[in-house]
Amino acid sequence: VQPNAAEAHCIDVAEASDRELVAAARQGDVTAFEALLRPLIEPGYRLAYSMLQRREEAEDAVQEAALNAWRAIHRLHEDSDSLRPWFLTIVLNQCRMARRSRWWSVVRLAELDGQVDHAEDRWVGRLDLLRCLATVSASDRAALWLRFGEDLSIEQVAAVLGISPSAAKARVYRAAGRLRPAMRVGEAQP
Amino acid sequence: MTLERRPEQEEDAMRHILRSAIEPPSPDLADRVLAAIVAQPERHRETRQHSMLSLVAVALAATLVITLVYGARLARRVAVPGSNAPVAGEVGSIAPAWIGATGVQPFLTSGAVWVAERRASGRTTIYRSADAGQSWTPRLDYDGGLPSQLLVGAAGEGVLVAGQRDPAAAELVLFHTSDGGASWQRVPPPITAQEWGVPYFADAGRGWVLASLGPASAEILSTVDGGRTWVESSPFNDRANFPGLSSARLRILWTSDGRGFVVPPLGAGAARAHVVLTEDGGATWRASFPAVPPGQDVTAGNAMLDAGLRPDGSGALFLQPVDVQRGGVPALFAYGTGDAGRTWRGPVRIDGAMSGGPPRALFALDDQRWWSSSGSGADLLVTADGGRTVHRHARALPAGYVFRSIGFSTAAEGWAVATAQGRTAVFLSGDGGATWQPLVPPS
Repeated sequence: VQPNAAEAHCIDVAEASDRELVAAARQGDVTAFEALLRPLIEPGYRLAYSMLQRREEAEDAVQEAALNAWRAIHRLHEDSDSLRPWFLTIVLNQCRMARRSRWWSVVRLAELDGQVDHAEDRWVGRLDLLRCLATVSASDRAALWLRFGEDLSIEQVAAVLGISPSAAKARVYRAAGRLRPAMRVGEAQP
Repeated sequence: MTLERRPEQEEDAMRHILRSAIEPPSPDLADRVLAAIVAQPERHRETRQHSMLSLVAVALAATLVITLVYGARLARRVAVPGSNAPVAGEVGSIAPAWIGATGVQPFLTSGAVWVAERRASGRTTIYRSADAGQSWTPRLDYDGGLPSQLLVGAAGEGVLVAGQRDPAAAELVLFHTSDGGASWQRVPPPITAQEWGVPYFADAGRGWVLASLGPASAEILSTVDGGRTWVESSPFNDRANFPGLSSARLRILWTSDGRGFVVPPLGAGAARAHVVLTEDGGATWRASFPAVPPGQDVTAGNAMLDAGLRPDGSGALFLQPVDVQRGGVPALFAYGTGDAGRTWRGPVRIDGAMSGGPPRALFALDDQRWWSSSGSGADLLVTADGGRTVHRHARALPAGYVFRSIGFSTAAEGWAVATAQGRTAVFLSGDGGATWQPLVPPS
């Protein structure tokens, strides 16, 4: 059932708590949903970028995830006091779907060197890091980003990824191990 | 330096490195996303009268375009299922675009062409044509993604494995038909599961699906009647062969007698490139290692794999080693199997590196007949003898179009989805991919 904003009860988003905003959004209040979503768009983008490694695809994934979240907002548990883990899970799954298209990874890897060349000033010194990141699986990159990029706890990472805390911890440390060579290179530079 | 010796310092360095590797988003990203959200309910509030007027206008415009540009070609359509005019014609320079669709997926069954069209609203419509695309009839409309399979048997029984409507929900979205696809009924989930994998059907009756019941607990269910009834076949708790992979996200290819294999995604482990197979309906699993291509440094961490499998166990495995250091994909190799992946013939080198363009479109009909896009994506490579001889159809599509995906129901009859400058078109071939004819979308 599509939320119907015309029939929704509107609340004062400036005064409402997150729990009240979630309740209103579940009833179809688009203003409440906007208030909840706006601060999550950039974290969602960063998570998508960590998986897709390309700005355009990451922005598309976040936009599609936001639309999916709005379509499915009535399924969010009524006791939820935050949209964050639920929305990040949707972003993650949107990225997985994007990557399911055949040979997607091959094209991205093949373009890595080109990206570095085109944005030399911004990416100078990052080639080894990008190469190392490219060898880490997208799901492990997502785990790494959620843990260190977004500073989520292992339990929160597990909740977003839909896996056990021990599996999340294993992913984070496996991915971290793959990045060590790039970190050493970074330290050696002045 | 290791995480054990200096964890805090290393975690700070990790944060710095990761954050510096993220390219900033467009400044207006948040505004664009929120504007799209706000526009959603507005579209749903359109009046019926307004919608009808729009529909009539679109229909008139489409009819005009079809009449002016493609009318002359309709009499020269290629031989495809349901066609009474099996004459191959010359391909023009512009193909009709599937405007308004966010994705299209064709299917060929005996006597019919099907196209699934997904729109921005998130809904997908299944169209059927019995005259090779000259006329279309909508047969199913649902809230969800493009189907992965549409199979209709000779007796009219069939299944449609739909894409999940909400990627986070991992639902079972399956439809069944008993009248050749004229009508479809949603199949209710047979058990309560936390997550459903994507079902896979060897034919219109025999299928399998993986249901995740909770942490470290999953089951394989099977059906022999197109999903109307299911039995719980085997528990699926094999973490050793599927390290770090969510069980419900695994796509298992099956034969009709319960053999099957999984092609792990890129980066799954550091072992040799391999598939994980079962010969007992999923009760036990083991890795199967195809031979490493000579001169190639291939592991599971740098090999892109894809596969096709027929109900009798014949099939093919495609491998592209990824050059992580220099970027790019040096070559395409293929293996044949006659025993559902227990043993692999080859590898046979099919092609060299792609010269840019989109990802390869690949399809294996069995262990002998394979198709692959090549060059910049506009050429098509075809082999009918397991790769011993490969024929190249250079620029098989109209100028500017490149293959995105392909599929064949027989050695002759196939479909392709292709794009040119953002325009998506669907093509049919009746001669094994040598020539392609555009499909006119439903008006």
